[in-house]
Amino acid sequence: MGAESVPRREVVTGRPGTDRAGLPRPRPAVPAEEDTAVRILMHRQMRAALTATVLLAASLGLLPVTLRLLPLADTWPSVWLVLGVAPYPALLCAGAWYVRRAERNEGDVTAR
Amino acid sequence: MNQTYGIAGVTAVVLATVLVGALGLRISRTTSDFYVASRSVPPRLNAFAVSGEYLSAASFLGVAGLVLAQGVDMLWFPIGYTAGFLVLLAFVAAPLRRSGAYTLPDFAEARLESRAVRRIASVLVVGVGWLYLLPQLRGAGLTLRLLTGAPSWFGGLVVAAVVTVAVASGGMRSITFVQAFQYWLKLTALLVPAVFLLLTWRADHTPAPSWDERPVFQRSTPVRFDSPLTLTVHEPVRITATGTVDGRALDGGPHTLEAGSHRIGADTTLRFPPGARVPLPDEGGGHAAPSSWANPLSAGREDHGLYATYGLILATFLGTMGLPHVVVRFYTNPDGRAARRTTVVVLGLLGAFYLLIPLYGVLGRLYAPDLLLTGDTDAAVLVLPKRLIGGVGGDLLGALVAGGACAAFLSTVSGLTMSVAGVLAQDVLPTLGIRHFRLATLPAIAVPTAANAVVSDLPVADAVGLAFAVSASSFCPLLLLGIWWRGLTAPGAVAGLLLGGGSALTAVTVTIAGGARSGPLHTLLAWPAVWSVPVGFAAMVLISLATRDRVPASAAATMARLHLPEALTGGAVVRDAHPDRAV
Amino acid sequence: MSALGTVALALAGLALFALGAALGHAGARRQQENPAGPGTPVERATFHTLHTASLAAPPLRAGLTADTARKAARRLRPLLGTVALALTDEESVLAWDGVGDHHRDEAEAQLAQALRTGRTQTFALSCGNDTCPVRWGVVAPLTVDGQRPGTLAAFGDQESAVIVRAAEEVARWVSVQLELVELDRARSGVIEAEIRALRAQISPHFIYNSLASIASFVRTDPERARELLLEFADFTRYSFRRGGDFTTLAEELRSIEQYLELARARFGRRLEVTLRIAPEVLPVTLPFLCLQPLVENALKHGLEESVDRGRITIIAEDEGTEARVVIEDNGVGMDPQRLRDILRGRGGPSAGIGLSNVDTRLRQVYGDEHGLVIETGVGAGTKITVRVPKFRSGVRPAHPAT
Repeated sequence: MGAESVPRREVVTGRPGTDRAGLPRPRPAVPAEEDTAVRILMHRQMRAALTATVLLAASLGLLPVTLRLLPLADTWPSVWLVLGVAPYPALLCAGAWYVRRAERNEGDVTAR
Repeated sequence: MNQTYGIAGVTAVVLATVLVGALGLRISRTTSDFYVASRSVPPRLNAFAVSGEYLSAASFLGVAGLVLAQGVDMLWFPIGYTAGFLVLLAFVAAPLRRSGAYTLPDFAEARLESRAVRRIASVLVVGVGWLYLLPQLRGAGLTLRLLTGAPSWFGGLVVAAVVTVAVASGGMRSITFVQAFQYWLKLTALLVPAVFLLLTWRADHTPAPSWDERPVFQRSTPVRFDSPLTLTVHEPVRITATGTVDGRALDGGPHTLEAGSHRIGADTTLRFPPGARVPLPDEGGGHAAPSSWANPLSAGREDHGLYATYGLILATFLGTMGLPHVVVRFYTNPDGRAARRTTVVVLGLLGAFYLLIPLYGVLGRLYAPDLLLTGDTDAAVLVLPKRLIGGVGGDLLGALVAGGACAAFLSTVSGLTMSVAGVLAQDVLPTLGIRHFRLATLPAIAVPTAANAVVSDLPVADAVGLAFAVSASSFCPLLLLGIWWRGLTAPGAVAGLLLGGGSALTAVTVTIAGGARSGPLHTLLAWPAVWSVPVGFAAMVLISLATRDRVPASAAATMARLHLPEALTGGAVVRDAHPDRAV
Repeated sequence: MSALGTVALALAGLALFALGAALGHAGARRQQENPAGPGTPVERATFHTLHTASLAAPPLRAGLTADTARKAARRLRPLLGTVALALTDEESVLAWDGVGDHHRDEAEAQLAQALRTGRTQTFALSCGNDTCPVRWGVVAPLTVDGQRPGTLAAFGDQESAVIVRAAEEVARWVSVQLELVELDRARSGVIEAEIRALRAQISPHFIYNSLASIASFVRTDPERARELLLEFADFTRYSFRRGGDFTTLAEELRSIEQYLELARARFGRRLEVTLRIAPEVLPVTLPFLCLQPLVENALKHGLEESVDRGRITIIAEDEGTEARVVIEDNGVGMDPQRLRDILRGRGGPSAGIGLSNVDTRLRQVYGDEHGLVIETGVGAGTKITVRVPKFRSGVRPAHPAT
């Protein structure tokens, strides 16, 4: 680019030593009512997150024990369906539910 | 064996990668396209890119190999790899994006305003990145060895060189489209052959594999031994052999292996008849299985299976959020909401991919049980098309799979190298100067490449699981507590990172160095997450409580920024175009 | 090596490392608290006093809060050698270091008088506990800019003129530190104001030219004129927005789009723009209106001062932890020496204010390594490179308060 121009370019930079970066910036304090709103929102988001993950983690987490205890575990192909197919739609559904829920929680705050 | 197809497949993938990389940057040329140019990456595209970067050689080759070797329990790997994103989605995605952080050290600094935490997080990021790079390079070595017969370390070196040149020449200046392309390439490379494999399996009257006993050769199968090996045969079997068996030179004639131990010489090919049971190599025969992705279980699995499974679940569920190459991709999202939507799409994309994996494992058990003999179980995905379908069709499908494997380690290696190099340039080697990001690429990839060459005889392939464990015991507490608990302090974070991440890293080092090869101690060290994650959390919480007066003054403001939607706090602004103008 | 041996070795190594780190840390801390140096006992005492004072200064420089008061009081008490020391604001005790914490309320009762008179007050304290060593106290007010934001109080078992005198001196020293806080605050206020003043202004020429070219379309192509007017409205709304020193690259590029659309109305086919934008750097945060002046400069040198077709290339690409933005034109270029003068602020009133303004702001926000890098020569076109870190603590885009 600009290669057709014959004259040569020179590199120019500004004056060094105006080293004032990193000065402490005054931080805006969070107003009390906003802080309360944040706490409420966090609480609700946390509940949604826990609902989505704990339900799934509990069912998935108990699977190893269940499979060990139940004799049906070794029958082909049921265990393959349980471990190879079933978890993925469940994960997707939990994720989609959580996103809807979290966005609704945020919408409530925005509409405030 | 026709190598040309495979090499052509790999070359095509490299070329396509370069091409997409070059085109991705030139998305618009004139001012009228400006609107397109300034539009952010939509969640769906970013999700393709995240998945493309995340699905590594361990997923593409390793899991099927593990299933072949050890059966259905190995399906916990893909479940964990996917479920990790659900945890990431629910607890981390949106707040992480809103923090404005690009890397995990950035997050630590934004949340705790402490340079010390930042530095420790940087070191851990580099450690996790290197641990994760190691098995990728091994996967590259395996693939190239099967395709060209080159030694294993060579493939790793080639991939390292390709990635270094690509980054250094500026070919990675816009990586989103490349990674998105690689996701679809990987999915295609598994899906298309899978259809043909299933059809062949049906035509073969859908035999079911046997898992309890040793598997059976479904067809007449030649097995090639590159290095000497001792086999135990339980019942006499008639084979044809070329090479050395029990010290006798044979050249293609029939031979009976009696029950008992047999010494097979190097460069020997045995052809087993259909219906014969697969003999297994002797334990402790001086021949360590050369590779398989997450296989510390092999020794202790029988005794401590349940513990190991929970170790795996914990590490993968909680470790995904701390993988450096996953975290940096969230920066590409314009806001927290988009970050969430990206993650949920990722859940779907990973699920689609992992649905195909067990298929390859099962078919591998049926049609490629000889891999158990040679120890190359990771090659199951690569050899199946040729085995089952054969002919030009099999060769072409084999080339497609080889290309997919190549995409798998190229995308993950380049993503990891970029993020490790970024952290190295910024935090660990600041003397390099900020303009030398590309220089930092060299140590970023040279260290794992060298390690790969040096420790090639040791089970370093455990490294993916171990990288997850380190990440789960250090970054998971930092992210979860940092996002959801105001009381986290810098000393608490330091203690948690050092104790949780440090103890997991120690366990990992001992495991890789071959410290304990069997017994409960080995299991404990090979799956550290079960104890190191609680250690990390406990240290972070307790020390934070003890240093309650050190809670950052900005904690409340930071919390508001992490959790409130951007519209309330600033950040990405929705373009409110004039209502009467078509956009 | 046996398996157990390796593990034992690794664990022993880890333990040794932890022990070493702990010892080193403790040693360093002791060294810091007790800088045993050469010299007579008197000299050592002086060193010690100076050192203690220097340790108490940093917390105070952050202002008088419960947290900083606690940290400072811990350092100040050894200086006075009293059993207890407290720092207060106008009404209550912020931090109490030492014993006798139960005398807080009594001490607080003495604050009002000391603050009103501005004189040091001494007072006796009654205590039911015979072993309590706090029997007497002194309150010395702190004076900052003629205001009295708090006091320093010291406590002992009996009245002591030495302690009264020492407390007054320490209170004076604390007051000086707190005055420095005000100074710091004023200085960063000045810099804030400077940054705000430096926010690029749109040139009046641009407004005039834009409106003139829009006017020229009103009869011939009313639809185009309407479009342009809307672009103009959008552009000015963005440029004049109040609040927020930072924006995202995506926002900045949109504003440049509008700017170039208006310029195109003037120059027509003479203007050719090429874009290469890596989408992953669009969310990068950067100072408000820091690219638009560069494009304006390119337009000026690429088109206004020449008759040929002008070509402007805008590139934004990913460089790991940074984004690299390049704006290049094929115009008449600049004299490097003159440009150097401009960037050093010696260019005269009208010359290239935009460039030096952007350069100064980038340096202020990101440090010197992130100033503009300009490659130019007379007749050689100009290439301007900006490197923006993807993350910098404290830098975040703001919501436009329109």
